[in-house]
Amino acid sequence: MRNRVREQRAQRGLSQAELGAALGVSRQTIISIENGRYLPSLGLAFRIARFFDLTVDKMFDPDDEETGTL
Amino acid sequence: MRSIPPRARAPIGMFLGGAVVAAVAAVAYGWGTVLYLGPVTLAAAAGYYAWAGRDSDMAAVLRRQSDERQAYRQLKIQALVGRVMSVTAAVAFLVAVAVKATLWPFAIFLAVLPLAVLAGWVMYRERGGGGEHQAGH
Repeated sequence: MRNRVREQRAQRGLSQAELGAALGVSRQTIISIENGRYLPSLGLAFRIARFFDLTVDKMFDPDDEETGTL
Repeated sequence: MRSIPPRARAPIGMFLGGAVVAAVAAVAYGWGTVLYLGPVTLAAAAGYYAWAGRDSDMAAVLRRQSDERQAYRQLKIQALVGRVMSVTAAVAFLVAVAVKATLWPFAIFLAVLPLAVLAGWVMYRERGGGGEHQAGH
């Protein structure tokens, strides 16, 4: 599943650590989400989407194949 | 627990655990064993303290500050450890039977295993809500 976290974070000029602190998760988790290695929980997915003023389906694209594990 | 600095939580746990082991060993084998176990415990606690200060998943777990991904990763690791320990205990039990060695330590582990599985199913059952409702029935 592809996501737009890296793109949105870059647009706002945030570091991975700053975004992690804002969302209450670690820098490593932001890296894993951006790289598609980790699919966030529904709660975290909503927090991410709301942080960037987007909807969850705009933030995460299930049709785009990219492996990730939960 | 909250009054303890996060970085010191795992080292204190390690120190207390080591102290209990050292005390039991001292009672069983004499106070000389403390000379060996004491430094090992202190070194392990110091190692945990140093590790807990790092910027990594394991450090966050040691500080008891893991986020959802780190907690899930820890859960998978614990599951793996549980599986490995169970298989090891079963194999050790068979070896102990074969060589007619003391069986009860392995037997206890194998007896506790199904109880723990049962407790897990009871403790972590999903509450509320019934089964599926089919439309028209």
